[in-house]
Amino acid sequence: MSATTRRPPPGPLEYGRRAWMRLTLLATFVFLYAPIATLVAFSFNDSRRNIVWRGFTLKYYEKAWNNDSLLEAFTNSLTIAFASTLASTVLGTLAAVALWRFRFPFKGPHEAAMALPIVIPEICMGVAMLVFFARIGWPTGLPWPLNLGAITIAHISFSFPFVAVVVRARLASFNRELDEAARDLGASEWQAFRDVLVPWMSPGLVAGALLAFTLSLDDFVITFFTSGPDTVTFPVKVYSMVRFSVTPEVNAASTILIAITLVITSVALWMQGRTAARRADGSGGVTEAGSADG
Amino acid sequence: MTRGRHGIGNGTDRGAASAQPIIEIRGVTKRFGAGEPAVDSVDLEIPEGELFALLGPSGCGKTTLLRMLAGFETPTAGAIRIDGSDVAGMPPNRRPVNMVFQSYAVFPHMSVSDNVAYGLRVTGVPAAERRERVREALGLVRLDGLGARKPDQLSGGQRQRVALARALVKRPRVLLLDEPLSALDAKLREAMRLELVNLRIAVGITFVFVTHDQDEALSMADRIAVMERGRVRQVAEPATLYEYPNCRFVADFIGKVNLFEGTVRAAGSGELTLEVPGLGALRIPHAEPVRGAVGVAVRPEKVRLSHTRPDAQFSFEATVEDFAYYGSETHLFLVTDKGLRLAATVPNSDRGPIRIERGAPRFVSWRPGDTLVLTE
Repeated sequence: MSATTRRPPPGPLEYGRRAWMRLTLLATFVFLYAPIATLVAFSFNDSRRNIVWRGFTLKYYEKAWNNDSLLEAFTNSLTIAFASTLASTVLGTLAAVALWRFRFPFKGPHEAAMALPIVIPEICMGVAMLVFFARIGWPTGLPWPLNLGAITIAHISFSFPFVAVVVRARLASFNRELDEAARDLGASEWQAFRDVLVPWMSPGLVAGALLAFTLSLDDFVITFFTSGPDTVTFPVKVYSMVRFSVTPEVNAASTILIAITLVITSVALWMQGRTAARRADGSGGVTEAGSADG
Repeated sequence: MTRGRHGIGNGTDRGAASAQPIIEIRGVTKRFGAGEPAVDSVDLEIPEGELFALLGPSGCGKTTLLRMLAGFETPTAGAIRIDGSDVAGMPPNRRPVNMVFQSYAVFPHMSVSDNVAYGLRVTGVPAAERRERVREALGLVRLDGLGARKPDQLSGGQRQRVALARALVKRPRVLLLDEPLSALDAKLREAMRLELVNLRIAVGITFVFVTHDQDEALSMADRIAVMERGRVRQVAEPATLYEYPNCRFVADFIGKVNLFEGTVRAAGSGELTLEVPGLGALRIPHAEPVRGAVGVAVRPEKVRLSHTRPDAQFSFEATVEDFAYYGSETHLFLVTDKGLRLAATVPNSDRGPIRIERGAPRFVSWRPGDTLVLTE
């Protein structure tokens, strides 16, 4: 910034100016993003193989778009993701509020049991789901989208604990006097919940829902065990395509999935930011500071 | 109810004491699980229009009592009547009282006007009336023009005003305040005391506030209930409480005091003769005949010091052990020749240098009538 020829040596906390720190940072980013960047780059590669760059093309996107079974798997994945996100956000939030608000017998074991799906190996969950649906005789061959029910239920069961954990963490910092103040001012319990607790939880709700959506969209192991021949999801489909050869078509489909995830996350963050900004503006919009809350 | 004021006025209008108290607490006990009750058979009557303080150390049950008035706790035993009707089983949103919380509990996601309007909105007050009343309430707490602000753009003092406006806009019969000044810095606290008193006069309703700060209670309240371990020890006006405490706890909790243990040697004809180890015999005027062991106390500012033996009914020789300079006054810590320690406060009414040395001899005396005799 300054025009002086000699810069002062880095201060004790100026890690950004130390060479080894910059090197570590660079290495980390390469490690994290080089595979993804390669995947995206080769989706535009005009070649049957993913080895040598032969020029730019969009034909594999076209090919992926015209691949009906891939498109079907994609639709299935999105449908399951939306349904399970909705259900697990509601369930997880209710669980978090119940655990935060009330005292009841065996609350500790209850809380621990609820968090189990987070730590249980996915393969065990998958096998358990397979056995469970077979044992209760879950109907197969239902019309779309009802045939996705088993997968959706499985997805809800492993993603709602994540929502509950995130919302619970947010609730831990809630000032209970806010709820009491609402009640004192004439709000019923429901009104106080709606007007005070839900707005407080909303960052947790958004974060939890995003987590649930991502978990559902890219889940392979549990889905693999619960899906049938007519209920193929995107990760399962990609896996079956890769078994023959990794064509740029897979790259193209994966790139689209990455793009969708990024767009949804950005939209969610933007909506959150907009709500915060609108609230900061107030109704009159005459305040000087608008970016006080981030 | 006796209302002796002992000649010290606090300059506030008390409002007409109507026949029926606005708050009646009868034998209220609150237990949380086993052990000592948080509030133990409390009886209190608060007349309409009073600025009433619940004062006590932390854990004395004052906040629990306030929360029972608001409806956030249910009494284990006893009855509470607000404005003549029993409030047992009445949820907080149906009571004719509103509360200002210790943390102010201003809704962080709502603007100032939305905060103030909230209590009207949830109870279905039409928008036009709502706007008018919000404007009025914001004016009352001098927050005009800040309605569009968000709570995080306000100072602590402004947030408190929002909490006040939000409660007052509901036009409650009683305003409850939980440690209203504890979150403010010292300078602001002082100013806010006066403002709360004036606000009480402006709106003319009853204020009940909880505090652990005796200065706050003394300077603001019309009457104070001093609580200790769930029980009300004394209910009186500030000056009565300070000058005529009814027990050792109140004497010690309100202000500073020199408290000694003594025995009554003789009683009769409006006088007591007390024997205090380290001081000797004291003859003091006292109306009620008491016997046995008593607490003998004197406030530090009542203690007089002189270089020569004073022409007083009793005086003691003492040496200055230590002293502390406070600007407006100096606190002296003395020890009598018999080893009894006592504190004295002298006003620095002259500008000259402080002429006190450690180890300097002094004569200590006070007016016999300033002696407090505490039986409990």
